[in-house]
Amino acid sequence: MTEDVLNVLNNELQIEPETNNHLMATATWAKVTGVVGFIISVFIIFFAYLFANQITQQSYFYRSRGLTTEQQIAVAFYILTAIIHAVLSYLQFRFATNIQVALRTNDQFALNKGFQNLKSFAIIRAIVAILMVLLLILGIIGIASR
Amino acid sequence: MNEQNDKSIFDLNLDEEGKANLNGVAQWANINAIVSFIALGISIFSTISALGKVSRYSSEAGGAGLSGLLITVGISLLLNILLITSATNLKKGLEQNNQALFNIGITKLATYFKVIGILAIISIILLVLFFLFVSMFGFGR
Repeated sequence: MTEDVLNVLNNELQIEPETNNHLMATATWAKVTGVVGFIISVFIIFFAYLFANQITQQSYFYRSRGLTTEQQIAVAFYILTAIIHAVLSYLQFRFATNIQVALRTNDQFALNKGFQNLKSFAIIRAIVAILMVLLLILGIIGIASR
Repeated sequence: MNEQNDKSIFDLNLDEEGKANLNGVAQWANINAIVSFIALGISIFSTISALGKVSRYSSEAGGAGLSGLLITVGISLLLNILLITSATNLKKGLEQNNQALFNIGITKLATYFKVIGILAIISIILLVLFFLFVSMFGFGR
């Protein structure tokens, strides 16, 4: 309470009614994205299973040796994408839940926790984006050098 | 006193921890947007060079590829401009203790999540339709 009074007296940034409304909208949409992201992760895993299953059936038909190394890498890539997607969705969901609790109950701890989740989300997304760009560049170099 | 500007000690405020976290969000969001712009540039370059080869054999495929590229570029530009505007305003608002800039940053962040949410819903609908199509007509039949 003393800290709150000092913050107001020091003209610190506040969660005003306008900010409150926009933060609530952010949290609502982040929750939607989080839930949909989880479902998409399940779909990606299912797609990886279908892909592996189809190839295994075909290789049985043609009496070959199951998945090749490239196909195994493709399945592993699908699973890794699904895991990263699920982690990002979880962080979005946690951000949304904490912010909603903070705004409804004026809970400072939940507000900070929510922003911490958003920061973790932004860090992981940025690292994934950097890795994807590097892979894209390597892919282009690989194609060009053939 | 103006009701809009009336600050209550019972309102939530941004303490040092909250400010540090939001500063981190702004910094990483900026990195995210810049990397996405670079990825977009590379994708445009590689897609156009690939389309050049494809359109020699089929002009329809080239046209479809070009319209796909335009939609991707439009969505990506909208999202990354929103993200960069949000990050810049949040950072300035936190540095200068400027409530107006901070509010703009949060507003842009809300719009960013709204667009992402709508795109996620569209993606899931397309995925469900795809799996329905696959289950109806068989996988690789």
